[in-house]
Order: sequence, then C-alpha cells, then structure tokens
Amino acid sequence: MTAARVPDVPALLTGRTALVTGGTRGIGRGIAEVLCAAGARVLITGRDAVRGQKVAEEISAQGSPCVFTEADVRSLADMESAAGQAEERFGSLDVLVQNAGVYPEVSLEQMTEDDWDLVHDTNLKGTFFAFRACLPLLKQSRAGRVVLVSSITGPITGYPGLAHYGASKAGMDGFMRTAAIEVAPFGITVNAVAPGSIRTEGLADLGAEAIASMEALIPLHRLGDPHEIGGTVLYLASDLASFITGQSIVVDGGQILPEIPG
Amino acid sequence: MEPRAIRDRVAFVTGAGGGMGYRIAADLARAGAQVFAVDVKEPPQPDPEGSDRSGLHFLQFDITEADRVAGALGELSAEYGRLDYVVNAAGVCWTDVDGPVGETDPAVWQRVLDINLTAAMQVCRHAIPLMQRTGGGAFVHVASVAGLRTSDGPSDAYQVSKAGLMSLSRAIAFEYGPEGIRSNTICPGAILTPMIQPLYDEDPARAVRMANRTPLRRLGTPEDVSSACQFLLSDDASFITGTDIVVDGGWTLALA
Repeated sequence: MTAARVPDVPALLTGRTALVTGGTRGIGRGIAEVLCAAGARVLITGRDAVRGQKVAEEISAQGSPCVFTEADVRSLADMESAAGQAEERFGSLDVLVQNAGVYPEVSLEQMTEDDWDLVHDTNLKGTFFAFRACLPLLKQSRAGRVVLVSSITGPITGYPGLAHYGASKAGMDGFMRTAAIEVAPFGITVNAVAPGSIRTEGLADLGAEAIASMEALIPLHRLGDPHEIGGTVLYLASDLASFITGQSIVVDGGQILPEIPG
Repeated sequence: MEPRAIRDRVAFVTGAGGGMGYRIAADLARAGAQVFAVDVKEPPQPDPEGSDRSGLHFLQFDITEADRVAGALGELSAEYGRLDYVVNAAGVCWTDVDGPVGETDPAVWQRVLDINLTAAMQVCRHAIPLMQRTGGGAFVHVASVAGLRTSDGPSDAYQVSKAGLMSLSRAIAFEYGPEGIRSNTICPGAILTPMIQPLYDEDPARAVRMANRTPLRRLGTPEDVSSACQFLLSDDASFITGTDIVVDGGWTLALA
C-alpha cells in the first residue's frame, strides 16, 4: 500500500489507456493509482500474479478499471503478450509507463557479472523490450506517450553500491533521447521522471532514524510520495505536455541542489 | 479539468501583457485564481473568444522600478492576506541591438539584465516574506533553452539573463524549501509569441524552417508554456523544486 490516499487529480486521461510495468508496488503502484484516478484504464504488469490480481482489484475499487497481467520486462515475448492484453482488454494503448526496475546494492569489489546482468536486463533491456512491444499500438494512438521512470542516481548523482543501477538509469535517459526523435513523426512523446527519495515499502524497513536523516538532506524536508511521481507522469501523459519530448523531470524535493549535502 | 488547488489561490504574474505571460495569467484566472497581472505595456485586448477576465487584475508599471514592485505586492497582501504563486514571465529579447558580446553596447547588456534578471530577483525578494507568512508558495520563472545552450541569433545578454534566472530559481528552491516554498523554471524553445514576431515578419519562411527543425514538427504555443506553468504551480508538482522543464518539442535533442 502506498502511504497516502490517492489524490483528487484532474480527469486528464478520460478515454485513454495505459500500461504500467512493475505496477503492483511502490512507485509503479502510485503511478497506476493516479492514472486511474485521472480516468485512464490501466493495465499493470508484474511477476507476482497473486499480488498483482489483488492490487488491480484494490485500484479498480477506487474508480477507473485496472487489470493485471503477469509479465517480466526481461522477456520481449512477455512484453508483447502484455501489449496484446492491453489491446484485447481496452482496444488501444495510449500510454506506456516503463517503471519496472531493481536496485540491489552491491559494491563494485563484490559485484558479479550476474549482479550486473540482472540490473541491466531488467532496467535497461526491459525499457527497450517494453518500448518495442508497445510501439505498434502507440503509433495508432492519437496522442501516444512513453514515460520512463529513471532516477537521480546515475543520470545526475552516484550512490555507493549502485554502480550497475546508476549506469542502467543513465542508459535509460540515453535511450529516451534517441527514441524521442525517432518516434516524434508519429506524434509520440518520450520523456522520463527522475525520482529522488520516495517513501515506498522498501524504505519503511530502514527505520525512523534512517528516514529522518534522509529527510534532513532534502530541501523540502520530507520524502516524496509515490503519488507525487504519479502526478508528474500524469502531466507528461496528458495533452497538456504535447510539446515536451526527450526530457527528464527531476522530482526530488530539491535533493540534488546543494553542492555539499547536509 | 484544471490542475488541483489553483482555485482561490492568489497569483502575481509579470510580463502579463505578452504572449506567454498573458496566457499564463489568463489561464490561472480561468482556473479560479485571483491574478495580479503586471506589464509595462497596456493591458491586452480581451480574448477573441471573450473569456471571463473577472479574476484578472491588470497593473501597469515598469518592474525594474523596485519600489513599484514592493508597492504592488504590499497592496496585494493587504487586500488578500496571502500570496501563493509568482510567475516571472517578463522578459525582453532585443535581437536588433543584443548580439555577440564583443559587439553589444554595455548599456544594452545592463538594461536586458535589469529587466530579465534583476527585476525577477526584486519580485522574489518581496514575494518570499508574503509566502513565508502563510507557510509556503510556488515560483515559476520563464527562462529559455537559450539559457541552457547558446541562442539563435545570437543575443548574448538575453542568453546570460536566462541562465541567471535558472540559477536564481535553484538558489530560492534550496534556501526556502524548508519553508514550503518551491521554485522551478520553464525553458521554452521556439514558441510563437509577439516578442519574436518581428523575426518571423522579416523572414516568413522562418516558421516553416523552425517547425521542420523541431522533432515534433511544430512551433510551440503560449498554451504549451502555460500548461507547464500550471502543472509546476499545482499540487501535482508538490515534490518538484529547483528543476527546469524544457518545453521545446525536442528542439535541443536533435543536433541535425
């Protein structure tokens, strides 16, 4: 469950359909909730079918329909099947949110090839697969939108233990810039959101003290909520952002601003 | 359909007689805000569609006169008791006299910096205490892709003023974030507005060339910038501060 109630958002996506990878928890779930609240029909993917079905039912109970399809972004066939599900259930696909990602911490000294491959296969290759699988449907949309969930870690900052993750996120931004140019003739925009420290299930395990010290480093003096990432994705997915493409929007409460943190 | 929470907020918009500034002010008013719309020029004629301007309060003065800025914000505060949003949209780009730095009259340089940067700082200086009093607020500054790269022309004073505005925004975001004040910029690319209309009058093929050079194959509109502004001011952007949103149709992505 995300921390806060789904916000009252403008109905900017009435009649639109969206696919959110990794939409069963954390930031992905927050995004799916906001897109549904804005009137979109949303298909979420994930690897845990029991959890996914339950989350889709919970989101649907709040308004617009949300359905789950089991799919792993590391598999192009899975992504093609998920896109097919979107077409079958909704008849169209207007918005792809590539959110699925992993962030296991391991120092470079300890990092194995398998560690590296897991992160890159999921975060970066998964971005390509999700994009590739959804492109035919997005081309048919009147306002095709792709939003990648990137990070401040990699594109802007570093974090010990996340060299593979940072490289994958910087890779996603690089992918985005060329993809944006290639699909612009179809009226599709490709943008990213770069979250800073967001209050997700995993973070809560760190304990109150660790969270307080994280908050002290953020000019707004709090962590972000997954729905705040959802608000930015909603803007980028809507007609309001039709002239924005190839951009990454930092959503971090000002965390990257100071020269020297703390 | 408007972004959340704009209704009943109080906004101060500079450059509100111009293309982007007027659109921003009018859209905020349409969303239910009380908008103080400042420009050195006469208030613009009503929209052709005859939209409701009841929330728009036009003020005509030169924002480089710091005491006029302080006076206007003081009156606003006395009347409404709060200030939620400030949009620094006032700016000039004098393509005829603002050129390469080696050839530009320092007096032109100074005047451009006074209007585009120092006046925005004065607006912020006088707005921040009002926002502090009510526990927060949001700034949006209209910068330019010229502030990120180099400007087409060139117009060096304009370019430097816009880079300065982005830096000012980050300073405010960092220093006043703990008090719930957010500050962000919008960096428009090629937007069709009255400010740069002379360039298109001189060379009508320019519009087609610029559109073809833009990946999304069109020029931007004041509406594109106003939408970004409403998003950044709204609660949908509540965790966004110190950042710059480029609204350019992909212009700065493609080098060829």
